Amino acid sequence: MNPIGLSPEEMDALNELGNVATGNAATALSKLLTKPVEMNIPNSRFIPLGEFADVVGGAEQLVSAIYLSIDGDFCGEALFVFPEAGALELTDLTLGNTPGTTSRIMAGTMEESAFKEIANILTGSFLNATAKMLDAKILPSIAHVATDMAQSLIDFLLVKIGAHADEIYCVETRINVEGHNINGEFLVLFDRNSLKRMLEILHNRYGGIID
Amino acid sequence: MKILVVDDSAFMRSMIKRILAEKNPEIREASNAEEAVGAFVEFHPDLVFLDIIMPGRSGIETLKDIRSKDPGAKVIMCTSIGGQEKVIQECVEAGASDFITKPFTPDEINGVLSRFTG
Repeated sequence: MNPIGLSPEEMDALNELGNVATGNAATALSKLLTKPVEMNIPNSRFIPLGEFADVVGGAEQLVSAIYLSIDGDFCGEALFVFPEAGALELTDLTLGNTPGTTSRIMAGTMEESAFKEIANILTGSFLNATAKMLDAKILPSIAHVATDMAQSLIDFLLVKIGAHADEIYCVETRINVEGHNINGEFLVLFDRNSLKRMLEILHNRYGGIID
Repeated sequence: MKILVVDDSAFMRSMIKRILAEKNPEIREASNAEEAVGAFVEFHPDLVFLDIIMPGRSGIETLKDIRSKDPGAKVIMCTSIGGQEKVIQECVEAGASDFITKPFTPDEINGVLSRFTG
């Protein structure tokens, strides 16, 4: 049983929402990079707070991350986490550079701007699909970049999202760019009030599928 | 032909400029609302490419500011959230001429350019 008492059908409905939205995001990233991009079927679930860092490679893992707040009719956070080498290669690919050109993503540089834009586009596409299914307006904030230990980033986000409970709902998918050593995690965390409102809308709009 | 490109992302401004370069227009850039309105008044562009999600005043607020200076201004909203009906409605009500959803192809940018600057 999940911590807010969702039925298996309701969990399935949320998972399907995440599935459509990540499909939309993969298409957008592929268009930006002009390369095939795979995003696996998302795993939508409640994750115990103590295990959250494991999702992104372990508490001590040094990662490059981009995070955005989600606002509008629903609230939450979006997070992209890449091992540093993958982040550098993804940045080179976005800029049309030979892999290995970028050695660091420094604040205020074109490299940082390109890295952020990947998050803007992925999150925007994810939210477009979600908004369409829920007839809502959902807006991303501007993106922020950080390189830090995974646990520090997670702690920061959990404070922002107001995670008072023991578990947090998360849509998690893995990004893979064909022919490149780029494997990252895309996580979207919605707060509990937003989740409940999403389910109400899903019930009202698509009642038959989750009754 | 004069074009104003407004986006807080230097990468995105660079990408639009690179696509537009083929047509050799005069291009001015702005990275926020204040710069955008200032550049619009001074530069009198034929077309504006305007991002929605920017720090400070949003693109929709910037659009309203620009349209208050010139109700006939041609402004293309260029955004990753262009797929949302409610966002589109808000932009149309504020006077947006058209939309391009990021990521875009050169053909999409050139298509808009042809339609609005003929």
